Amino acid sequence: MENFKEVLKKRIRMLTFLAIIFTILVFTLGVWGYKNSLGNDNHVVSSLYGLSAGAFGGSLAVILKTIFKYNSVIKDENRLKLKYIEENDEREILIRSKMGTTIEYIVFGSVLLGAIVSTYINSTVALTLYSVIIFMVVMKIITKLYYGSKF
Amino acid sequence: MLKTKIKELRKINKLSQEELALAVGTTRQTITSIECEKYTASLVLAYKIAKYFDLTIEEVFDFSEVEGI
Repeated sequence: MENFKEVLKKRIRMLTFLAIIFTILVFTLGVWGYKNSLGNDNHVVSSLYGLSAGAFGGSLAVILKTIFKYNSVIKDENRLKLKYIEENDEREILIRSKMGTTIEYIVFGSVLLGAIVSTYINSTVALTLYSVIIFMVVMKIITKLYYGSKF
Repeated sequence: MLKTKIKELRKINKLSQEELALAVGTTRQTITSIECEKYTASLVLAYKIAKYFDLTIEEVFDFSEVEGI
């Protein structure tokens, strides 16, 4: 259980680092977006600034909640054991693996369909979606090679 | 999926799913799934469960319907 405690402490350090970066991004995007939105009639652009700041802000809230949760788990041996079981339960691992595969196929199919349809509507969107497909394929190959050598 | 005697063994030992799960380091849901034959336990988990009841894996899990044995 001591090893798992160290794992959680390491995660807290990484999440704290991420939280700092996200805080900077939220403020930068917020201020920069606000300045750029002033006098700008393009509502789509100003909405995107808000959306980005909101996404980073939401992520920051989740990160902070996780840090507090990990901190309280480390102090309580019973909760630490339950957390360890929860994270290492073989059925949970299988479910996550199956979920990942299913989501991958659905997202890949949706993006491919979107790319094909957008080819006849908007070339910029089509190129972006095809880039996403290429990125997904490359990532799949890299992860397959990585896990193939690991197991 | 494998048939098991976990439910019967739990009843004999007056043990809840939660207690067994905690003792073998898994979740209550996993014990439920194994008992309902929806999930087959790994070798390590099967060993832990059998050891907990002081039995062998074959005494807890029924391998008679597994093909190729």
